[in-house]
Amino acid sequence: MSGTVTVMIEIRDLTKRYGATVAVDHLSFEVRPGRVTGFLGPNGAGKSTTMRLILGLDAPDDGAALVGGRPYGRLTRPLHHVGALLEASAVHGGRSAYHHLLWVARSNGIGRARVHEMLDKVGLTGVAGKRAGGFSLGMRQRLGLAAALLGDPEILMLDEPVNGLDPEGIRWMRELLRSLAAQGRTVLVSSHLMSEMALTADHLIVIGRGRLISDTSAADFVRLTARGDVLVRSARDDRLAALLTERDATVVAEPAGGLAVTGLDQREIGDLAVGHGIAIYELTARDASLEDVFMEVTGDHIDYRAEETL
Amino acid sequence: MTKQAPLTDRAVVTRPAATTGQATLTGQATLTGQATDVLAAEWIKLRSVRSTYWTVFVTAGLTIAIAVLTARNVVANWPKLSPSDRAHFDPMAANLAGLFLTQVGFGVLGVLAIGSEYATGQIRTTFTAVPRRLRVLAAKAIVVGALAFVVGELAVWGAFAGAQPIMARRHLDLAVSDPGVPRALLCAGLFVCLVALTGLGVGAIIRHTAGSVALLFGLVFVAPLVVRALPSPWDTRIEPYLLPNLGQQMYALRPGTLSPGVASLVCAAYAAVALGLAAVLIARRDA
Repeated sequence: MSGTVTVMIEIRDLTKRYGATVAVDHLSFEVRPGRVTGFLGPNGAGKSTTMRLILGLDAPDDGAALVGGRPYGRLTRPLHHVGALLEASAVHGGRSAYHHLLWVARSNGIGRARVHEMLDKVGLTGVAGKRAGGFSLGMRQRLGLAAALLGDPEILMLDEPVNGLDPEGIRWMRELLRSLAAQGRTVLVSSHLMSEMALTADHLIVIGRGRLISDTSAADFVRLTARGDVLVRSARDDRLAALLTERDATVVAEPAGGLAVTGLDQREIGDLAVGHGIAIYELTARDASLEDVFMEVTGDHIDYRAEETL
Repeated sequence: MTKQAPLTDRAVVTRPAATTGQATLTGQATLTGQATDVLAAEWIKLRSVRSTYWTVFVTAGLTIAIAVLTARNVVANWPKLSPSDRAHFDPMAANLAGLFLTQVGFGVLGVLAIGSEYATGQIRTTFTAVPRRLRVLAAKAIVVGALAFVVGELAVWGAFAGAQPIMARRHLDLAVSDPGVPRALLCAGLFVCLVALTGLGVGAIIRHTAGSVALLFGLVFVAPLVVRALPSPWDTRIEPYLLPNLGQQMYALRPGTLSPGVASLVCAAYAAVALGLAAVLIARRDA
């Protein structure tokens, strides 16, 4: 074995169909240790299905999902290698938080001390004896996270972990994920919250309709597809729009008044307006948010798919 | 204590001291350890929800209460019975009259042991912790079967003990040393244990608590009505093989169509078929 950093999660040509629906469509990607990898896609993109396939909960129709080079089902005491937070509701509501963690721990030969340690870590010690059915979504997320961390795993896989968390909880989760990655662990986090991923993820895997759209660093993803525009308000929007279009800029009228211009920067637009005696009231460069980029990329993808089926 | 083996070498390894147990990739040495772990985990699950205690204690209590009430009725009505009725009277059947409810209670215990996991989605946590699903099903069967057998025996012996002083008023009481009595009581406990295992199998097959309980009620209450409506001779041919009737033939002192031994085997076949089908499906289906 070499001492180099290896691929911890490997998805190869993974395909899963449910009846006529293709949930995951020949998907391939790798997840590496030491960084937070964001797993993005709109609802129904196949994120949760992919995670279930990685964990061996669902069987793929084609391809393979490997964890540390082997199928999940072959792992002995898997919680020592992989910690997963699937859905926060995957807990029996009639059982206390302590007993939930206790059975999970016991199933993988993990001791009681570790259960108490994890309850402390996620801040549930005070309600450890309470039945999980009465927990808020945020508390259930913390309980699920505690279960995922029980075995001190090298790989963490979390499906929408910030769902239901308050702003303080979101910040806590973000810092926790970053620190786990900094310890050299492999962290795969799915989310539909682009803004959250922009703050948390180092690397992004974006899927739409079960297919890979992008596999790149978070910064590159924005840069690659960024199409920031310039908002202009002027005394004569119609005249300015005509002038801008002549110079091959793309102009869209904003619903609230003003023009959204792409293809020319602020300086060029300002100079043009002055040259034609048009007074400028506002000239603002707008960055594309990760959401915008995401919508654009997945939107294109969906259009492409629609045309393809025609 | 072996150290935890990492999946692969890592460039950066900064780990907090873990109090985790031993884990090896091959797992050869710890195979028994793992089996014990899964059993222990299933036992924690079973004992940490209130539904277990409700089901078990209410069922056992009703078994004893019905035995006492039936004994009082028998004693009160004894003078009105015809000589032939008296000749055919089986005191053990009267003592265990509550078993028509006991079997449902323990069947529900079996259903809940797995049905609640599907209802709450916890089954995915279970199969993530223990990907070898047959091991999970086997552990559940052992834990549920053992609990049902122990509590079933307690309920049955309690019912027997509670009824005897009342039955004695008409000299209808039995002694533990009477022929067939220990066998009858042992078989009654075995019967509710087998129904609990059948319930577990049904729960794993159907994966819905309500649907599984409905099927269980169908087996216990509806099937006898349907069979009784069949044209002769099919009604009497099939009747001995119905779940509640198998129980009666297992613990009755008067011989039924099937001997207690054969009835026990057929009853075990119910559990075996249900669990066998569950084993095939649980390994194949997506969780």
